[in-house]
Amino acid sequence: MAADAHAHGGHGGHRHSALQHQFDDMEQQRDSLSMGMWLFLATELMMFGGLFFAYSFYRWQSPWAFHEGASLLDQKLGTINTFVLLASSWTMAMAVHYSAERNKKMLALMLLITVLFGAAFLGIKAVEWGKDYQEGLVPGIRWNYYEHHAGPKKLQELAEHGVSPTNVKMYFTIYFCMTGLHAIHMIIGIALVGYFIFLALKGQFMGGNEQPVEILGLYWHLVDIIWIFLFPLLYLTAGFNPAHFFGGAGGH
Amino acid sequence: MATSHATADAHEHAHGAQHHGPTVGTYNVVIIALLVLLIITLGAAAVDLGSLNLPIAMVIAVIKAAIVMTFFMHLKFSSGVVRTFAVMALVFLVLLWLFPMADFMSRGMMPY
Repeated sequence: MAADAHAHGGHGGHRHSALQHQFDDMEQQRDSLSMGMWLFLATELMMFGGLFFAYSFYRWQSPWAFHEGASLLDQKLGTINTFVLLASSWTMAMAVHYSAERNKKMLALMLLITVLFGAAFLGIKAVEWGKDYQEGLVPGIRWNYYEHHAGPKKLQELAEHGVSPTNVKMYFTIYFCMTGLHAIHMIIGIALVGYFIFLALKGQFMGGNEQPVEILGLYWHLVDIIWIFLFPLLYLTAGFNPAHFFGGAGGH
Repeated sequence: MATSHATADAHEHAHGAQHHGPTVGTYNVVIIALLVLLIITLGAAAVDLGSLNLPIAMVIAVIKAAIVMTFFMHLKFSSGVVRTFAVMALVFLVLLWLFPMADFMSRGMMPY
């Protein structure tokens, strides 16, 4: 009965009732879709889990290399990005809320702000990677930081702590794998949210069929949660220096 | 007919809104809590606590993730089967981490 409440609006194209024929009722459909998405998120956690394991393994073996690596990142940009991503999760949650309220304008607006936050995150990340490239901190592509930017004193300091530049290179390999895989997820997320703006403006999700917005939100929030862990692990290993943050310079 | 549609619609709307759970006010409290926890993360990292820094950062991160999952990801308002899938995802993640690490430790590869 709930299902055909909006079916009268469907003329032309493939607009169908929200209840798909394989489900008994809306509740069963709702649970099935949520469950399916959480199962997908579980596989996502497995994928990132491998990287988190690699991180743990190498950090345990050479802690100072991770201390050194974290001190070479731009802590200011990383911190700003964390604020940006948390804010994007809030706007995504608001989008889900307005889809349930059947408020087309606010749904589209919140999705748009989410896309803008997401794009800002990627833009800042690109600037960071650009800096890493210029400083010679990209393993396999441009790795000459310890030849060109760090003096013999630095190498001596590393040796005193029982690590070599190769260990720091491992930190950066893990850093690029983790932030890279995260960024790929951001790109996919931004594309999907952009597509949903288009659908929302067309009037989709306004007839009791708004659950896809919630499912999209689950994906976006998972990507946010992964960053919640990446940020302290990658950027704060060598501590946080407020003086660096509020003075214009980067993390080092 | 039109009236019955309207009432069914209104009923479903109310039902749906109830199911979707959190209000705007809840979301506002949640984002403020997340931002405060981020500032606490930064504050805790600004102090050198030796080997305690990492566990403190991870505990705060777990709290943040739990808040996101509970409210933004609607687990507080989800059915038992959905919550079970969410928890199982975390259980598998712990297994994925724990057993390889136990293996490496038993081979004397980890300095402890």
